[in-house]
Amino acid sequence: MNEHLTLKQWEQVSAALDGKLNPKERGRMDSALQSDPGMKKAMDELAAFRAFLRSIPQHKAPRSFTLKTGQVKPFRSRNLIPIFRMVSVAASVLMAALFTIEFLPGLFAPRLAAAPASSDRITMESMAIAAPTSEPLILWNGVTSAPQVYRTGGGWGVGGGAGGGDGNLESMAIAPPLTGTLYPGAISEQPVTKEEALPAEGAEEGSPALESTPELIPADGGQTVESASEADAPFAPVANPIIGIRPTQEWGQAIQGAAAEQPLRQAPAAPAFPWLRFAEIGLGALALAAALIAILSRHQH
Amino acid sequence: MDEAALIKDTLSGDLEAFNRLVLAYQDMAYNLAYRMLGSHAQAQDATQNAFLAAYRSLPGFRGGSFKGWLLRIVTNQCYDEMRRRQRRPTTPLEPLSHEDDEEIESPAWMKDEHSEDPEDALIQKDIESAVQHCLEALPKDFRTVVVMVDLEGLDYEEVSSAVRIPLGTIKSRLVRARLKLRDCLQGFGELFSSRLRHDTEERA
Repeated sequence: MNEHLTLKQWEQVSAALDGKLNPKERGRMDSALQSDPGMKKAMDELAAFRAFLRSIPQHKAPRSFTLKTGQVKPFRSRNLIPIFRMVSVAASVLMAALFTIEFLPGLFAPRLAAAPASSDRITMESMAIAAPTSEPLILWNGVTSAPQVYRTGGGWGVGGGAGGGDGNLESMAIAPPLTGTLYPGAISEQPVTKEEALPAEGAEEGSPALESTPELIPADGGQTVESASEADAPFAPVANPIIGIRPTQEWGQAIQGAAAEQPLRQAPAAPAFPWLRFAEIGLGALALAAALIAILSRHQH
Repeated sequence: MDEAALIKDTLSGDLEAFNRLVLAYQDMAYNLAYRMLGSHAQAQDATQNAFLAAYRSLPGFRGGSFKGWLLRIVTNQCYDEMRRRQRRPTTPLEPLSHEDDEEIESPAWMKDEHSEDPEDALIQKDIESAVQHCLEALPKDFRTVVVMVDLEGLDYEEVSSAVRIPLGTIKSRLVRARLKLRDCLQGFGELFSSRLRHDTEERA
């Protein structure tokens, strides 16, 4: 070994011999070879040695190393793996879509709750339609056959509760007659005087005093009456109930029938599409199975 | 030979397509294994295991140099064998018979194409033994690089792909391996010098 060369220089010589220098390095090497005899000698020695190594004959394989069918299992076609992969992805996407349909609030809820909501509306509408014939919630205390128009000092008001003014009751006009069901007790046996019809002084308008335990009045205890056309009998025994102040006997009493007929907010119906759940479970199982088959098939190969 | 087509056919289930690749590369693979291990029997085992491993790993082959990829597998098999030898050194129960040596070291490949002189054949055999002795004295990383570049004729890039080391490291290891090998062979004195002179004269 040429001892006056450094390892780095030997590395450059070796790379130059193998043609692995870039143009800049090759230029530096060429000038060094021309100027430095030691470098030239090193290059020649290494070239000879490399040639010697490359002249050593190669060993041929002493036998054939080809594989036999019994040694290895031939590959099966991998076309099924992409199919299983696609099935897994598609099933996952469908399952996600079904979850979205089921749980996304507001978007599909009305559709699912359509039956109960519409039934609510129908009930309310039927109530409104039947209002003229069904029991009103609040009963006019009156025994009058027609709605009364009260003239107070300041203006006109319809119905009860006129606490102001001079207190004079005058039948000034006939409002469109209303029909309704009279509740027992709403009609007094005796004609009601003006003073009795009017709320007590000091009482708040339209606010009957409530008893501590309201007494239920059966809805079917009343009877439907037609409004009388007598406008000049403000305190007739057979009163035509109008919406207004309830009879004094009923102040504080809850009316059973009306509340019973008015449907409360119904509990949401059971899910209208039970097959949705089955579909989600099925798609989830399919996605998982297809993914596992694809992974195992890939590992096998 | 269209390697890509053969690989594709292999993956479709054609074992014979892979065997065509085996026949094309088995000499190179066996020679590498022998230079690394120094034993014909171990080289055969390593070569067979390497081809079996290459077949099983073929689905993971992502293109590029199949030669470099295969040599990496052969090199790894050799490293495994070296580690096994270090953990459990073995001694042959019976000395190898000369008949076996003659079968393995076939006179056919020993034959010098330029001369049929038996003396030359003997010299050639001695040189072969000396080179193998000096190769086995090298660290395995240096040995791998010099065998691949100078004995197998691979390019730096192919070696880098096979051994997964950068080009700069290959240059460094190669020059050190060449220098160590040269120093080792100079210890064989006239045998090496005469051969070296012979080659120099031929090139001139």
